[in-house]
Amino acid sequence: MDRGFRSEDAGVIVVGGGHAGVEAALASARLGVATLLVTGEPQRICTLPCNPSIGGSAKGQLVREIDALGGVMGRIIDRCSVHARFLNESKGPAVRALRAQADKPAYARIALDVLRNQSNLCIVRGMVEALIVSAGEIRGVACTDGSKYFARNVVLATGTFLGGKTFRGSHVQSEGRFGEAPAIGLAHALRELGFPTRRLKTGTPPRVDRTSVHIDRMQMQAPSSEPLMFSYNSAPQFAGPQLPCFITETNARTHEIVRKNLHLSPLYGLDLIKGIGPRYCPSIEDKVIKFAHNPTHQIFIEPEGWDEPTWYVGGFSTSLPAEVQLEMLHTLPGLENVQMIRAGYAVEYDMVPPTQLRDTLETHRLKGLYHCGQLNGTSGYEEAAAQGLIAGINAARAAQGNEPVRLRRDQAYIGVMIDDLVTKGVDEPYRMLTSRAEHRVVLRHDNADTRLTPIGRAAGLVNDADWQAFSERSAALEQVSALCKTTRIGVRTIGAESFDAGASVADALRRPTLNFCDVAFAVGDLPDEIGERAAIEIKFEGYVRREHLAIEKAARTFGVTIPETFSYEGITALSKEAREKLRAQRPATLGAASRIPGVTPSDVAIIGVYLHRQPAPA
Amino acid sequence: MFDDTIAALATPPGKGAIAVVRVSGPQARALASRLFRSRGALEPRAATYGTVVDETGKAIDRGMAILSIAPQSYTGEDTLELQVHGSPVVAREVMRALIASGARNAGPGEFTRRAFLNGKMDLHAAAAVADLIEAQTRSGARAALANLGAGLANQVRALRAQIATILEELAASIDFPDEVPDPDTAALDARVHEILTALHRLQHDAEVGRLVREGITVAIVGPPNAGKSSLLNALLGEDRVLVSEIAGTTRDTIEESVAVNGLQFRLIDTAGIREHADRLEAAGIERTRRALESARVALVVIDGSVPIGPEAQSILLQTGKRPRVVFVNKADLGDAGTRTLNGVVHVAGSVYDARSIERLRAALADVALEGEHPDVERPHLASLVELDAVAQAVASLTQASQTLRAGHPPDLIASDLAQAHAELGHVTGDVAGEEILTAVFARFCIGK
Repeated sequence: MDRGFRSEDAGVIVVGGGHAGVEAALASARLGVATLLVTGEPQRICTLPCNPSIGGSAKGQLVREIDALGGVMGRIIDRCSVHARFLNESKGPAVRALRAQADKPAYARIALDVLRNQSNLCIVRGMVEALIVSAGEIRGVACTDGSKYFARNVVLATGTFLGGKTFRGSHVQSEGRFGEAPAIGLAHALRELGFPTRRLKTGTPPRVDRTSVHIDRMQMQAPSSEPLMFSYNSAPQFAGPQLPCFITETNARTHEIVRKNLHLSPLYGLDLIKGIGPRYCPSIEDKVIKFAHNPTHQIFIEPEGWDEPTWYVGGFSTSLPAEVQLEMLHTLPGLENVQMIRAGYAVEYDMVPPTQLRDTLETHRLKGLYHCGQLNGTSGYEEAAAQGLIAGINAARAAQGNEPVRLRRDQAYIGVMIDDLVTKGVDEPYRMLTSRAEHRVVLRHDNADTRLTPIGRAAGLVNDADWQAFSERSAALEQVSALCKTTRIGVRTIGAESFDAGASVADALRRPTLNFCDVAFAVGDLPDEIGERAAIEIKFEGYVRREHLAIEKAARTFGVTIPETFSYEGITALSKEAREKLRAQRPATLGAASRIPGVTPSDVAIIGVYLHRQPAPA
Repeated sequence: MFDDTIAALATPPGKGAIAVVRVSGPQARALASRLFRSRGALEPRAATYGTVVDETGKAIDRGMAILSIAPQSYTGEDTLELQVHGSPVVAREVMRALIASGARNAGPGEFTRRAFLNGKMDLHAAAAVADLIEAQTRSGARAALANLGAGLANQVRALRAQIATILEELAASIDFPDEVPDPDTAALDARVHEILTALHRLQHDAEVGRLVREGITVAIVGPPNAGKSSLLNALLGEDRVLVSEIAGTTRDTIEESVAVNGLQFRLIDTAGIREHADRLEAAGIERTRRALESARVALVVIDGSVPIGPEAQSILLQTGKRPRVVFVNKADLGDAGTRTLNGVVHVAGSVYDARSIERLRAALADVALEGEHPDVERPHLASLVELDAVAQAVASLTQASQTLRAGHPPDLIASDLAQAHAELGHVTGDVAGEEILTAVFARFCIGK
């Protein structure tokens, strides 16, 4: 493909065409760096190999943040969403999250379109099997077909392909995911370069033929009638009809079949899987064994697209043999006669512990090498995309000789995730959860642009049109907030709420039962989105202010930077474990140091003493 | 590095020749100019004689002040040292004035900790300290256990676990909304309240424990010549105080200890509360007011043989809403006063009648502990840091409850619950992060 540069002039190479790789490649190219995306099968870029949904609790915030920074995930899903819904609406402004089911083929098609229309970006087919390294720096990659590509910055986004192995009963296959070859050579190459690897496991449920499902025997979940968009810059309009989802549940017969066939499970009976799976996404085997007291488990039947013949059986991830899977499916109300189109399977793959990364996602070991996505032990499209975006931005900025972009824990879920990864590492596939964010009152769906668009703009990723739109939105928000505070509500009651004569619109908004739509009459015609955002700011002002105070307080103690050159060698007061971890992980701040397991508060205090001390006389 | 100012009593609590109160932090200088009056300005690192006053400018005691300016001080911050007379009442009053003016109670070892974090120790000392902390961190939970006793530690742990359970349920319902039902707000509030009630109980026990340990202060107040000093003597069972027939003889407060039913009482005899032209007398009256402020129980002595005068009435009014015992003296000499006192009298009799004194002792014990019979064996929270932590947890949980009652969404209580959880971890030694440092330095004597 001709993209106006020769491959030997690439500044950044991205390996892998999943959600991480796509964000990385686009970000890099958009920053103006000649970028090569090397992927095994260019036609299968950005498939959604597991569940069909994007977003959800905490993940929805990630998608918003990606969008605010200038990434593409939000815009793509907005163009192919078949069922969108807000979650947690009654639980609080900070945890309100958008989730949408995608038309899977459309998602992949749109992603590929975006990539193809991007200047500075060239997609090449290839399975990378080795890294070209010189003097502790990355220089390029070598593919199984003998081709080599050179660049000073390489982003690895290999997903589950690294040493990938799939399991269906006793049937074990070497594959990266369904029907695709794994990357065996690259896993070896990484180990030879001194990167430790560990095995993780995840899984996917069976897909069924939608024409064989009795939807009248299941509970229906209706989609939103209002258009719900992830991107700040998507027109508020669904691209196609909205489809319902369905809920059914397991029963004693299902559980009996699981128990009866446990000896055929590669995880339980056969003991073939050594990798650690995610606790928050248990297989149906896990659910039946570990939660034996639950008489039923909910199962979610979700479309995979407008015209896709398959439905996704959510909550039914399994690695039992295909015939057992079918028998289990037939016990579920609505699926009594279902046809299974594809069996579920478990996949085991290599990950490289993310504790060997800087908070820029560059490896300590090799200058110019960046890791993102499942390679770092995360799970989920959104987690991968968010890391890909940061890795892509930083690889490109390094190629340009610019400072990297870092996000703090109080700025973004992305910051929380990366800090968790590089300081604590992972014991199981890492999923973004709201409870991981200590300052979530300020990390909301609604204010992602306020938090991050200026950073995306400064990094060079937010284009003029989007920046203009953001500036107008910010001005409107300020105006509306001021208007709410200065305008009298003018009525004595709204619903059950009554007011004093002088009460302002803001006073009315502070009542828990009232929302912007209830007071809109007093401030005139305004876009709902802006009004609702202003309402959140006003309603929860006290909580937001408290959080900001807590953030400032923590920043004074823990925001202290530890210079890259800081030497832990001579500090005998540090415990041996702490010294080794600090030397290997080189945390960027005292706060990051304090979060490394095994580094005690006294260790942090000692580093603090050294950082505070005047340089000793020579 | 630190933006708050800490204060602590550096000498052992109780009676000594002098009490030393230390202050460290950015406000030390401002506190010195607010709470210490001297002829000349304070010279850094020089002892200056003057008057320690409270936040309203009222004199507490005469004493010395030494101001050290950062970084030339033990902690590396501005520090102030106040030396006053070694009365527990005076020391407590100085501490109270400091807290009221913006300082906060130092945690155990916090001065040393600041010195450490501000790089005031040489590296050998810092390393030695660090080794100690390290050892202490490891044994933190064990040490806390030893302090609290297993029963109390487990009680606090159980409360902490209850908070954690609510946090987990909230997190589960937020992160897995499809699978986990929404939390029931009313039930949440009830659970928060259950924890609050238990914490209030701990605070109450601690207060009783403190009273048992430190003794219960009783201010003997009443009009001149009502027989206050005679009563003190009677309670003490010996002639300690000069008794005079001339009203207003007792010019100084007198503090004496006496054990009643296994409880230690600290009796403070005062001058009569009366406006008086005599300046010395006026100071005595001021002291009476102060004694009333710092005492837990007011022992009001009234001459029952004469009609109730305005002074007696004012004292009765002044003490009406606090734990008090009203003793009507000289009942054997007439009932002109007793007749008009309806329902407020605990004991009517005479200081010279042993049975009256016996009844008075019983009434004192009863009122002091609000009718409770303290189980002195029952473990209670004793350290200021532990109590501060519990108070913080109570504040956070109260805030959480208010949020729920205002009809706000449940996620908004998460940070308050997390705060309370961390604070209780402080008490049990199950602490993470920054808090541990505070706890581990607890082995250092405060105020060093």
